[in-house]
Amino acid sequence: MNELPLPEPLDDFLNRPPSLASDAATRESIFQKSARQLPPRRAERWPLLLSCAATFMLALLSAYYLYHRFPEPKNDIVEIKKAPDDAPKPPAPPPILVKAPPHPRDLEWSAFDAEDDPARVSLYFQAGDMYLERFDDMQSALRCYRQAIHYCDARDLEINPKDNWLVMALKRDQRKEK
Amino acid sequence: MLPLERVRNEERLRRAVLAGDQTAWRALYDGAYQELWSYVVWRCAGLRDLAEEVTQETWLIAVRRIREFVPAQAGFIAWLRGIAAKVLQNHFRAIARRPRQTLSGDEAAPNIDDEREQAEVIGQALAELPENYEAVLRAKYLDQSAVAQIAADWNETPKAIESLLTRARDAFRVAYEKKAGNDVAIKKGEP
Repeated sequence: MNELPLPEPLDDFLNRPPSLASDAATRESIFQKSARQLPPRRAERWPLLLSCAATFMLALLSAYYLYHRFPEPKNDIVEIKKAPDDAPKPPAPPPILVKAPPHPRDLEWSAFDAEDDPARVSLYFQAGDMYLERFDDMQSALRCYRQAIHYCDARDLEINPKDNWLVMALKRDQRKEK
Repeated sequence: MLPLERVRNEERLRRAVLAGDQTAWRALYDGAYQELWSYVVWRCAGLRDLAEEVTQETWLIAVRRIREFVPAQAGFIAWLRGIAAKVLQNHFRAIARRPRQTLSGDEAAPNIDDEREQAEVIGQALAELPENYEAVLRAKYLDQSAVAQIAADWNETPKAIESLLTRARDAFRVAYEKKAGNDVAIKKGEP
């Protein structure tokens, strides 16, 4: 097969691939940052399970002992049975299904995977709002808003009266930088 | 490491990371850092600041998305490369959408002779390639695997790999020329 020669920069790039030594300080700093995002460490569970089982057994034994020591008095009350109601019961109303709102984390990942930037920007803003309003999670909200502002175009950087204070501040900073 | 052993080991580490075990995260991190770094440097065409930014972003995403990592589907490093590729794609798309200063045309030569700009164009062209083209170029030129080796790893014939390489190089050239051409047009102030 006849192949067109590659332009010189590409030929150079392919035949002499760039290689840079990784910086040990940067490597450690990235590790520390990522390790801070780990889920909180789960405590060893077996002592907790053992104590729960022991408490349960103790409660069971105490109930058994108390029941046999003080037997339940005979019930002299005569139960009056109500005549069966022939009237047909109205059908139970159908259960109301309430759709749970999405978690901001899911929105954040949808934004990351979005194919086009306007969708990405909108999803990041929604995720940021949700982190802030529902979970009071400033750090995650900030992360999402920064991503949204990174991908939005100049028109989206206009301050909108609907923006919250955090978005306004970030937009202002971004405009100053530009 | 045998595939089954690799899957078991990564599954064990993944579960430990989900339980908040920092030592397990360290094991995954140290095991993949260098390989990820080399890949990102290649994809960034040697731009250190961009490579560092993308590497950091990739690790932060990886730790937050570790629940979605399925060792039986792909190895940890392949999963990380997928994240890094997406981070790079988003990065280059954002750059491409950004309005650039239009010059009058009287300025110095419009060809992309600036080293950084050239590296960015190469990075953007790589990001435009389909996954299998990028993978075969990486195997041949970055990992320096022989065609026969790639064929054996991918369960293909050497002829099929040769053909894929030809198409990949061609697509890379076209993407590069398109990007470089756009760059020149923007500099000249052409629409």
